[in-house]
Amino acid sequence: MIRLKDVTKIYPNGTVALQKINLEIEERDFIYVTGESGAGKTTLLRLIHLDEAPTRGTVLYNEKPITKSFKIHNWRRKVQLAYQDFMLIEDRTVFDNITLPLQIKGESFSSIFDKAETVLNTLSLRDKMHKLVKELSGGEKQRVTLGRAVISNPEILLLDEPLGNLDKETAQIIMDFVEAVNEQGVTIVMSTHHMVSRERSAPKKIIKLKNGRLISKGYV
Amino acid sequence: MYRLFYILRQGGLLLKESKKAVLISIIFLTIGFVAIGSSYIVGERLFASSLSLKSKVNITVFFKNNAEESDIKQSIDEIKAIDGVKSVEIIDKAQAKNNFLKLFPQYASLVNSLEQNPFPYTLKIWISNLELGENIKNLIITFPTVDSVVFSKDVAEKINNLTHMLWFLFVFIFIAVLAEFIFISQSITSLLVDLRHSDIKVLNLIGADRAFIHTPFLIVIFVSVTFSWLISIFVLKKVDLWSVEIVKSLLPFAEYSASINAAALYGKLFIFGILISWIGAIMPLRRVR
Repeated sequence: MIRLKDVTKIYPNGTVALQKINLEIEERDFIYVTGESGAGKTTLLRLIHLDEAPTRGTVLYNEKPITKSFKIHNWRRKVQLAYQDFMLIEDRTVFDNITLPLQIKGESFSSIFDKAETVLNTLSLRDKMHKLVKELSGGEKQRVTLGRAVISNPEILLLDEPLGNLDKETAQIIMDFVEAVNEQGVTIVMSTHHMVSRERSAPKKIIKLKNGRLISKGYV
Repeated sequence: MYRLFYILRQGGLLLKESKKAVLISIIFLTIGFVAIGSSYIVGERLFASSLSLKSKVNITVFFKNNAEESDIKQSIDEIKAIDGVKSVEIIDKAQAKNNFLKLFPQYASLVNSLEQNPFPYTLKIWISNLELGENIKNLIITFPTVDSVVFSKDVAEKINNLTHMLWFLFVFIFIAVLAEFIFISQSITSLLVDLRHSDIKVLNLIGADRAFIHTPFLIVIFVSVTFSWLISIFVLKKVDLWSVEIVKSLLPFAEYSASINAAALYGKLFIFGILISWIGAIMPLRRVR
């Protein structure tokens, strides 16, 4: 589905974020990207989301290179990224933020309300739907970010440290939700420091980055 | 259809968040509309009136009293053939006498007591271009049958100057308002883009296309232009009424057209305002990524 071929990313200040990464992401995969801070996890997700372009190497989708000629907005409707720093519109309501991807696609009112209700209920945000995002706690914002990323049913969901700074209970809610989304056929790539998983959940791939290099691949 | 609704809603939210900036832009756009509309209304009236005045300006040729009628007719044919002569009106001696007596009936007995008709054979000449008047006059005066030629050079020059000034003034105001509209719409859009910079970034990251990101800004401009246009219509209606008096004071002997085609003017102003403002707004929007 997505293949990174010898991908290197060097930032203008000379920081080498990724070095010769070779990685294959198959349909319905659930991949944990682990590593210490500064290992290159976020850069990897941003490269797949086309927020960044690789300095060297290629990112391929169905064996076709993703280049600048790609219509970025179409790609980002397929590949949603839930950012570590949320990237929400602070002075709009939870409902507004969560339904934005559906508004962009021009879905009907009834479809938007139905999908929003499902997502808000699953993420325990139903009672917060009319609150402004700036009035929410960090954990609630994390759930809104996740809700916005999944509501449009993307092919690939990229999650950047979705469990960072969350209490165990909220982390579990989010993991349950993400695994349920994966079971519905959505490919998940999730960068994380720590893994929380349901009992008897399907096996997941895990890759480890260190100083921008892919040092191990395996399953958990 | 739903997408259009959401885009309109985004425009509404943007408008709500930037009321003060929009209000200021409405004030400046109204000033622009009133400036260009007023100059058009007053200019159009002045121009129409100057045309009526222009049609009254002519060259009057007085033939010698002792000239033979056949020679005079030959001279008239030659004058008609001069470049720039549009039309002529021949006033023979009897007609000239009648015209004089119509104006000054108190001299009837005096004029009738004379043995010979003292009024000369006269020719009125209308020319296609007032600037040629002086040259044509100088040419006609050399004819042996011609006694004197009168051309109201001052009036012709004033009308020509007025027409040139009107064009210059209108073009100047048009360019100034054009620049003002572009500047205002560009500034307001830049300001809104800066204000909503983080929102635009978020929209980009979740897959919004240009239409979804840019159109709300164009909606804000559309609303600002529409409001200022509506306010300016109210002012321009007053200007339309006052302009008649203004033109009368400037050209006291001209004929005045009753009204201008206001609906067409307002329509053109609206289209002008929207197009130019959108062009101004697109400039900062092109930089939005």
